[in-house]
Amino acid sequence: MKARRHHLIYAAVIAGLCLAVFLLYFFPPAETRFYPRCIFHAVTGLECPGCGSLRAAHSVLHGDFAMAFRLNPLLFVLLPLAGLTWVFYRPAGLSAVPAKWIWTLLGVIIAFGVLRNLPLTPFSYFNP
Amino acid sequence: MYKILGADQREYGPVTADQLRQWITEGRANSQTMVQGPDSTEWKPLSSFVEFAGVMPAAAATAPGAPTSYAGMGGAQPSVPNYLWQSIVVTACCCLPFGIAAIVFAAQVNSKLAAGDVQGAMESSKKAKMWCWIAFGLGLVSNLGFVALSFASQAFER
Repeated sequence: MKARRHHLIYAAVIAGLCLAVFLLYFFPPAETRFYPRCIFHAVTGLECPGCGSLRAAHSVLHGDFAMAFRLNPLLFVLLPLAGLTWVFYRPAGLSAVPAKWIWTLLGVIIAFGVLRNLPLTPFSYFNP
Repeated sequence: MYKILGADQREYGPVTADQLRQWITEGRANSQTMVQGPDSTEWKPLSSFVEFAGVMPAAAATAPGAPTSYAGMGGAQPSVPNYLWQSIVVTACCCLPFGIAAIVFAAQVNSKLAAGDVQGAMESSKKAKMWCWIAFGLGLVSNLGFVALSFASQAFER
């Protein structure tokens, strides 16, 4: 019973991913209305640490990794990190990750969010 | 077959009487542990099951209210969920400030678990879950708002 529910969830996740890839490939997020928006950006006008993720995914699907990196370099850190965490903490679970690593991650996320909004040369590059 | 309720309020089992006897001798269950007997849906303290009176250690009886130790639960130890990946996703996709609150509580779950404070970890876990849902809900509601606004503005343009 439980295994069947898991299969259904996996099927739904895979179907959702396929739909997302299809939409992201054919409809550029910068010019399309139906994508979810960032309320933080809408309210403050600032780029949040996750802003640019959809546009970056669109760029990756079209092979433009340089543009994707500009749009959200944090993804290029977080996704490989998520993969490594999955490999090393799969049996133990995420609750076994040392807390200091989570604090470090939080610091990195906040620091990136602050830096990318500064009108300074190396940082404003990541705010296209 | 028997089921027991751990200190974390989760069910363990069904297990055989022999397995439960072993848990008692290993200190994983004590006289206060709530147990569901065979052919019954009623939870009763382990002390009311006469079949286990023989293996019940005297020490357990002299320490009433002692929490069931599940630190020694070995492979059966459930980890308290910290909602870490959900927190990161809602931070990036839904609502930054509340997502960060969720990450903070996720980190607290891990530090409290590492310190052996299971009760505290469960409280932080609940808060992490709550902030994840609040951030997700806000993201969802505001995006539905955006959709409604864009439809409304299109209607006015015509």
